[in-house]
Amino acid sequence: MFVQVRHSPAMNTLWKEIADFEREVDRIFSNFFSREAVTDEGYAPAINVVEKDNEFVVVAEMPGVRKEDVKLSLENDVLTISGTRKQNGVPENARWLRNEIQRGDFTRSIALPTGVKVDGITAELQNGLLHILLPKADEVKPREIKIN
Amino acid sequence: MASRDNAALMKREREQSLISKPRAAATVTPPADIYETDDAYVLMLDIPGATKESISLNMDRSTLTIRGTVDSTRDEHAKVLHHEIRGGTYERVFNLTDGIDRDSVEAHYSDGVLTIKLLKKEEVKPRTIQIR
Repeated sequence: MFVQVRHSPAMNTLWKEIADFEREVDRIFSNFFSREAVTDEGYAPAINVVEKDNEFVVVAEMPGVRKEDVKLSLENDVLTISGTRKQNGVPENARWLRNEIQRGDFTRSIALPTGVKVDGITAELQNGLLHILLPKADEVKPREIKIN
Repeated sequence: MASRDNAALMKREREQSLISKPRAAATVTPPADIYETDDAYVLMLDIPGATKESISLNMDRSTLTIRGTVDSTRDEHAKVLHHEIRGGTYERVFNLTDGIDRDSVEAHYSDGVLTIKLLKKEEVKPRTIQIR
């Protein structure tokens, strides 16, 4: 007897999810461990990440980027900073003598540590630095225990 | 004409090793763009995290020096998980051409970018000669 094996729609979804997951993992690793990792999504801005008692702070370099040109998104505990650095105010007849500044699309993803209070995330762009504050959920904050 | 002049002019950045003053190893060289128009040279430098007041801009006979310090975002109580942005001292020196009008240099700092506009002297600007 010949049995034709056909994936059920549920199986197809599962395979797709596994493939998506693998891609996502590759992307996170390549972005996290190497800034030079080239992606289709452009250059990767430099970042600092620190942990404080009550929050995590991510700082990303964004010189020449306007607030309206940056997007922050959060999906499956991965925070993604993406956007475009535009060329502003350069006249059409300009002749370039030196070009070291990266422009165009950029993207950077950061795997968030556990225990971030997602609703409380705030961000501010100032003097070319994007500061993202990620408050910790109460259960992961260090606390002092009083001795009675 | 003017574009030929400038090859020898601002394009060349002074070699840091030629400067005799010893410097901290941690000096950052900000990336720069330069373009030229008929009446000016425009320099742009990425200096994220600076303030207008903290940037020093000096012009002597033949060079333009941009120097300053960006406060480190380091916090002693914070645990560093990832560190790519180096704070500290930055410096960049450009050679200048004689064709620059030294009295009309404009600089402004916004969104982490320092923009310096150096106007050309009248005599080096391209001009159209009328045929009579």
